[in-house]
Amino acid sequence: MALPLTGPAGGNAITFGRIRRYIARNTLQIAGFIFLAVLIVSAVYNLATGIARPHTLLQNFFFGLSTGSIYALIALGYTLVYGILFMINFAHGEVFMAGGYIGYFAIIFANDRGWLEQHTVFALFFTITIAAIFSVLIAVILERVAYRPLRGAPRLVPLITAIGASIALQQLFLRLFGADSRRYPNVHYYIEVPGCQVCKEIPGGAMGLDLVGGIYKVTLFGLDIRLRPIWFIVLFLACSLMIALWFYIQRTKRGKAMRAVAEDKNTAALMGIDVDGIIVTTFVLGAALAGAAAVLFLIIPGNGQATPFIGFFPGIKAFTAAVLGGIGNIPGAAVGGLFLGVIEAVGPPLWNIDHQLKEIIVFGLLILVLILRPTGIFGEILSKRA
Amino acid sequence: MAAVTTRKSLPPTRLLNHLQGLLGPHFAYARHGIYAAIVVVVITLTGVFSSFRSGVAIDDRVILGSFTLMPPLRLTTLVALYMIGGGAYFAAMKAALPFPLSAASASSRRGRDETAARLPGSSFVAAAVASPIARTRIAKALVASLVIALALVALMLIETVIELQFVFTGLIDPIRDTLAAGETLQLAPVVLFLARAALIGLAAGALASLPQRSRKLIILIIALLTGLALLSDELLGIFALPDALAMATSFAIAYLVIGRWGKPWGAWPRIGAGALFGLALALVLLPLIQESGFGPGSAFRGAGKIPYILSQALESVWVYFFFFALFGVFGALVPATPNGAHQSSLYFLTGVLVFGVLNWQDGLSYLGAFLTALLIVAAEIFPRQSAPRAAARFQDLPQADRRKTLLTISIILFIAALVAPVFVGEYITFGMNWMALFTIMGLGLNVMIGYAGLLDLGYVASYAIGAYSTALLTTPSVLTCGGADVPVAECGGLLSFWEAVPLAVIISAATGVALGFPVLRLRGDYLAIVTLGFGEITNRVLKSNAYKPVFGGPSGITPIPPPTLDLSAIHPDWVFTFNGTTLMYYLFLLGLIITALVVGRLAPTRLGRAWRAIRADEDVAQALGIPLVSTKLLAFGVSSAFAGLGGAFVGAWFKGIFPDTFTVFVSINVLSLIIIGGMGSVVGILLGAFMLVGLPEVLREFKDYRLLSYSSLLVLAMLLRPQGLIPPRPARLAAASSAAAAAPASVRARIRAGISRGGTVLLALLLRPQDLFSPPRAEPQTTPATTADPQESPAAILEIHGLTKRFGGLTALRDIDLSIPQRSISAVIGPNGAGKTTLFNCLNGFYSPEEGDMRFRGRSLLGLRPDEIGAFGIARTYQNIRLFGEMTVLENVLVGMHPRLQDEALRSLRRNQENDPAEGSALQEALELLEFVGLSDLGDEIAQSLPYGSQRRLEIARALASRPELLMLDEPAAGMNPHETEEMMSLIRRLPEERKVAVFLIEHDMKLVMGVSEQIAVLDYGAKIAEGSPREVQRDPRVIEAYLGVPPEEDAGNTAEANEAATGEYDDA
Repeated sequence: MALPLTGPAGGNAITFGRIRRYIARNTLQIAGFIFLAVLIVSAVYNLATGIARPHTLLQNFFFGLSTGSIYALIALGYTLVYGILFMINFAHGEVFMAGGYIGYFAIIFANDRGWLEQHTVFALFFTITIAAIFSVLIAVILERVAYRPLRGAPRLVPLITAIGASIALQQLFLRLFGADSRRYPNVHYYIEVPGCQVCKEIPGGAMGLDLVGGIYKVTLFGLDIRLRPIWFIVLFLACSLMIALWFYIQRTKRGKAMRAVAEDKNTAALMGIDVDGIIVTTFVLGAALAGAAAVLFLIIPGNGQATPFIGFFPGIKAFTAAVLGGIGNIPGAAVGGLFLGVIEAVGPPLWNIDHQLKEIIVFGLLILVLILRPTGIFGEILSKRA
Repeated sequence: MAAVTTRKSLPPTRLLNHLQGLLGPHFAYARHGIYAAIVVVVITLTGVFSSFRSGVAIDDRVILGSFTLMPPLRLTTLVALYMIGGGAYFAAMKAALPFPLSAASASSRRGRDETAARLPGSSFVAAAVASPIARTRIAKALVASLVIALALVALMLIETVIELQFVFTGLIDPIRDTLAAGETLQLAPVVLFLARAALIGLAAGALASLPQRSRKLIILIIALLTGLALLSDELLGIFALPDALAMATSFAIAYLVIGRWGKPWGAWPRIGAGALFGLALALVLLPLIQESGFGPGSAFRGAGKIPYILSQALESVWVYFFFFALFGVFGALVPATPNGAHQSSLYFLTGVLVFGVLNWQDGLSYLGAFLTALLIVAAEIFPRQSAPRAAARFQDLPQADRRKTLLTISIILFIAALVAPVFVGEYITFGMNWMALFTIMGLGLNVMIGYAGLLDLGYVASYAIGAYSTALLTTPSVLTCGGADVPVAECGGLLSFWEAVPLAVIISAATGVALGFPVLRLRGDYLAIVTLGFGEITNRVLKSNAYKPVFGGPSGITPIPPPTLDLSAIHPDWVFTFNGTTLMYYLFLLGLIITALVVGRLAPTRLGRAWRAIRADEDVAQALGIPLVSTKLLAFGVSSAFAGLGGAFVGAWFKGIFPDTFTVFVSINVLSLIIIGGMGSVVGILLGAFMLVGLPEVLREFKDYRLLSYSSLLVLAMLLRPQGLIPPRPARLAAASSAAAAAPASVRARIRAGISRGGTVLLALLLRPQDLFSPPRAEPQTTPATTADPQESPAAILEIHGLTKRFGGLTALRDIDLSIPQRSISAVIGPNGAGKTTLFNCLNGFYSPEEGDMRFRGRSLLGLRPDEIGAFGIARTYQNIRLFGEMTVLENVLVGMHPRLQDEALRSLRRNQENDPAEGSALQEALELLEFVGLSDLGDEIAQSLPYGSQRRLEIARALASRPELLMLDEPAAGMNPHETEEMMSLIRRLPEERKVAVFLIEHDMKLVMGVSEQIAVLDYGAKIAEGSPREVQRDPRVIEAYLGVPPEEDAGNTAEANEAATGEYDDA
């Protein structure tokens, strides 16, 4: 939906009346475009005048990539469920939270047994697996108890249920595990890198990198920035998971069944596909990704506090990412997540916004997208409104 | 990795199915018990026992104690018992019938449920218990209770081995402390615990086997007694027993005497007689009171507090007599009231007595509990006979007396609400204030969700804006100092509270509209998330350091000066400062009454109907001439205004506001209460606010569990009772309309209408800014269709030139030329996919064509919105019927009149419906339209309950309601049998003459098309291939080819037969 300056009448002469009518009909779109233009101009201005400092931007860009990849992982859950059920699984943020919370207990368990120090990779894998399993459990119960009985109800009904379930899960975790935040232990995973300039001394005396907990000064494009290796590891892991998901959906029999169910549930059922089973699979996939994302999110130093409320904002942002990429569209969700993460990290310095208000950028973006291009940047693929 | 998890994890249901395979059919008994046990264990792990540890100990006051053989009863134990009992009850209610018995016993059960209600006492209990379904239920409940108890015992065992507190921080006290009463786990207490659980399970199973009515009654009694026990400390002082008895007697005498002998009396004699009865009783009691004096230890008074009303006889006689007279009048009026009023009046009286009984023995005792149960049973059973009689008597009253009766009862209730704080004390008043606040907000949000169907989760934003506006306007701050070099505290507020509130409400409404504008077009679920975002952003902005100078950052704005009411002109002492809970109560009461009146009265108006129509089907509503944007924005504005009102009050109440009170949970809270109470019904919302706000506010023990229970209730409500506890009743307009016809339009009414029209203009300026710069719209057709004589102006009413519509690469309509004469019947036919419905959609503005022009009454339709086209005089029906299914038949027609009725947002605030001349005549016309299509008796039916053919006719009536000049019928006879088609044909033939409308129809039924049409156009693949009279079209070779695919040269001679075949084909379709 670009700017068709010929009005709905499609006449050839652009008269004053036509323009006025066009403006009246598309006030919102025009306002949106103007706002977008203002954003771009102010960003360029801030860059040019040096209000936005390039090295902060670059550093935040890399940080944003890692956060964005986590948003992308969560967003996949929204998109998968939306693609099949045409409903927003409002409680998905809480599935993420559950993963982070259970992951905390798992990592503490691993830490107490010394695994975290001696077999760091195994311990992290263990944590992620446990977190994913519990997220899956929550999601499956959610689907069975709250969503399945309401399939076919008017749109608002499952949405309200989902909101209720979301708050219920938050409160249940609050009651079960208490209000104090659970801080993930500091994780260090050292590797020896001979001949590396930015490295520091690692235990044992050699020069190397702390892949999880370390932070290093790097000069890039002539700018001095500080980077954490974990950002790139998270990005890498998230991308691998997303690619695995993509292959699962495109190349396996069950993936094909999923796509069939997304197209038409009744016909799929007639073809002998277990629709309920496929829907459960969808929830399972989304939840496993969210659980893994939660652990990755909390492992990054500076993020590491699990509370019952950590699901809210990542959830909403991931939803925004899903909408950005076109809800129902899997690669779209991935790109949307990365884009959102970067914008959110780069935005405050770029537009000189108070860091406390960075959520405004996300919502502003969400509204802007919904006004200008409701189907998302890449369009809804899986979802054709039934 | 994701894939690995998928294959490994079995969904729990499948796991259970697996277990079922192992255990065989017996597993069916345990299944729901296991579910319940999981829930109970989870709840236990939240530390629910610890939350209730410090709570009120119930000692030996609750009758459940005797059931469980374990008095004295601690609150914690009670919680455990309820959980076990509840789980067992759930399992029992889920009892599937044993396989061989299922069919037989299902039918016998239904039979018994009916007969059992008639059987007295124990015999039906015995009969019920002896039945197979009851045995299954009891067995399941027993198994479930044991499963739950064993799960808890297992938890206790685990607890002795592992420290659970590290993970489950809510678990302060060990569970065994509560359940098995011991530091170490011993066998005897555990066995005792299991035995008690089994008893509870049996009781729950027996309860589940009772017929529905008695079951509900018992559950109600248990719930109320529990509530009373939990609240007994706070409720003690409300009503002293002597007061309660005296008032009940006054009520009862008047009720019985007037109910029996006062049949033909009007309202005034009733009121007078009731007052006399009350006063007489007061006089009789006077010497008695003066003698006993209610000294301590008098038998009549019991251990309770000093009666308030009776003791007034010794001090201020007026109050004493006033109360007696009041209850007398009350009792005299209730015997002739509609069902709801009768019922709630009796509940009110029962409540008074229950409080009296509670007070009698200084808390809930066995005897008190028993009496209370009896009272509840009486209040449940008595109205079953008396309520219909009362309703019948009420119907017999003349109109004026009916209104007087209801008005007087409202006044009595109002007085009761006014004096309530005196009786209930500050603590309960505090809860009532919260309840009133949330009812105000709930009613406001109801406009948005219940009426307009817009799921707004950012409601808290409007609430916060109202609160902050009031605070900023009334509190000394940098703003009021205006940069002057004066200490902030000395600046004074900008405005007084009373000036600030209206302003705050307007600001809230305006921001509501402003926030609503960009998100209006979003689908329901997107709207929810975006508005949720608004709520969060508002919270963030209020909290942020960036705006600290204005909003005060995290510490908010304090102190807000309390509102003062200076009436010293009337009486030197009358300077009220609303700085306490009790005085604020009156403010809240005022706000609540205003809100309830406004919201309640909006429902049956033009605007209310438009909202509900939009909720049901946006496109159809728009095509009927309802402008979507402004109507939705009005919903945003109105509901935000009420949130703002609530916010303004809350700041004044707590003399300060803090951003942390304005979180998304407020939105969720309001949402839950309107959904659980019943969307769209004022009483339901009041009940929801009572259950979800009033009660938890007073029940301290539940504080921690409030949000958890709301949200779970929200889910449960959606699963079990999506319409809420008290769903709104459909308006019975047709029945009431006879009275409306009698009311002539008085001069006063006309003046009022003028005033409200002026107000509407103001409102429009405020709420519909987009209208100011929208293009010149087609003048809405407020007058009947043009009076031009068709003979004089044979010109076409609709002319289409070169119309082309493309969807991507597909050309759905190609260069169509058509013209439709006034008051004619034209048809367009063509095979499926020929573009017929696309043509209709272009004509009424759903699609905008790429090329060509459409001129209606000489004006181009290009670029007009569907609502403008609808208002301009084009109406339509739909191929698959699109009625507003949940509205009544009459309301459907009234929605159709939308563009013709005046815009009266303000008028609706002061109905009365019956006295409103415009509404009255609209109602008459709607009834007349229903008669025209032959649905005159069905006005009050719910539209979707009509049979198919009637729904089609209703759709036509709805379309005619706007007095269109062109009526487009999309397959009016689809799915009808030949007889119904005949009827439809005669209806269509009558349209041009009787309704002065040109008919343009799509139909596959050739009999109908050929029978009624004066001219026919044939479309094929988006192009017009033929046009002319039915005969001409039938003979046109291209038409035959399009329908039958036969080359014209081969079959030229057989056109007539071919046509027959075509007709036959579509008759079957």
